[in-house]
Amino acid sequence: MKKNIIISSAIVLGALCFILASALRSDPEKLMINVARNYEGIYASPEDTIRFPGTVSAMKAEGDLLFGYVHELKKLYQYNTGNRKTTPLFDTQSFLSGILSGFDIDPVSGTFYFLNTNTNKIYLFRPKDSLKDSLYFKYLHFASGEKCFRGADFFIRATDDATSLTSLKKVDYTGGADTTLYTFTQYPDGGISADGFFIKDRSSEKQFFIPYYNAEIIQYDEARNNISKIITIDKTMPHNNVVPASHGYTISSKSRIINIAAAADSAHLFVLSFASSRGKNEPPGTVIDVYSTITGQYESSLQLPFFEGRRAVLLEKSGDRLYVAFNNDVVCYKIKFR
Amino acid sequence: MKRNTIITILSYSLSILFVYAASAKAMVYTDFMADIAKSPLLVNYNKAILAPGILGLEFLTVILLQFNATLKLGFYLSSFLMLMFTLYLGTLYFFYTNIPCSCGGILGRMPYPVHIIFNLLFTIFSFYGTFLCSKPVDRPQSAVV
Repeated sequence: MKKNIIISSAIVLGALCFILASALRSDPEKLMINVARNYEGIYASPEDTIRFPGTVSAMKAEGDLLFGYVHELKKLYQYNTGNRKTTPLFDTQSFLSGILSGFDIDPVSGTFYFLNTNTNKIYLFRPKDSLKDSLYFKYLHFASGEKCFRGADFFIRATDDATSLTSLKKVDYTGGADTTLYTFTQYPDGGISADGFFIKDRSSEKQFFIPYYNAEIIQYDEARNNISKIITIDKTMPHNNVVPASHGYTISSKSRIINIAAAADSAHLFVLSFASSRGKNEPPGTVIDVYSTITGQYESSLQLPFFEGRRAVLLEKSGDRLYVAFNNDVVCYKIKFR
Repeated sequence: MKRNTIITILSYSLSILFVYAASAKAMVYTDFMADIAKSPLLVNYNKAILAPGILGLEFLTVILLQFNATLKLGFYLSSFLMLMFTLYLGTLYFFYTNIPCSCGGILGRMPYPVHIIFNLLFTIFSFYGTFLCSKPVDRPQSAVV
């Protein structure tokens, strides 16, 4: 009996010590993954720093031009990498109300599209003839989206009010038929697992939906009308976003933002990840993971330093240039694959 | 109730629990690895050792609980594991905002307070088992799960 009490006490003490040691060494901010990143495949050298008059909330690159939208001033700015000049393009106050959820450019027609989820409208502006218009679909509530490469369609994420199902749709705002391209599995998580943002690459005619909270990136090949998935190396599954609690559900640690920003070129997808891997000092939000858009496989990673103490928030890719926004400043890197 | 009968019930219950918990984790091993990797408490441990280690200990407990000669050791190991799981969940529940639980199957779906109480109950069962095994056990060996 005495021996029993001694061994049981040792078990209790051992368990308490282990938990206490774990708690003292814990790091609630860190999101660790089990993959060793490859830093040998890609090299980036800073080429230019562009200062905008306010925080850049959305960014697009087309050829030698970089467009940055400054929400606090409600202005769109254009930066020319040739002459290194930043010029205000136009004010959106006259035709855009509420918060902008994204913007897009059609370089052929010179039209800018501004998406607004509050009003459920897509605002058009063509600077060359000051054409202003808006697109509206009464029954379709979109959350975010991009203009398709072909025709007048938009690739958007929308939730059906009746079924609460969230889908990626190709929507014809001129009154034609809509196509549901992908429907997200529904979890009782308030839509967190299907929340994300869009990016695209014009040369390959590919659109990407990047989820904030899980690893399943949806790739839409518009030319082939084909949907496929790219799984990021953290492998966080969408169903892990919420966990049951005594009164309904609570957001689990797995629902922390993993993918912050992304950019694509004809063969690669660059994802700014919040996950850190073992063996290297990777403060959250400093690593860009590169995936092949052809094979869907992880290729290599790139670590970016903080800029004036700030971490990167937006990415954009054009040619061999990778633009990284840090609030007011955008750093342009030249990318080389080894 | 006879002492041997209680021991048999306890070892059966714990064996079923560990077989179920370990199998549920093993069946979704990649998810299990990813889940424990995101635990704020386990952030500084090597998951490549920790994950198979947990599964190995759970299966080892089941094996030890099957034989009269190793029954007491099985209850000790079970006590340690159940106490660790209870303290782990309790610490996360009371001191951290994000609560990951890597348990698979029905255990992972339990609300956290219920899960903690459930674990606590099986911790008490395990410790009770060790005390019942103070004297030699004469249990039929058919208790193999």
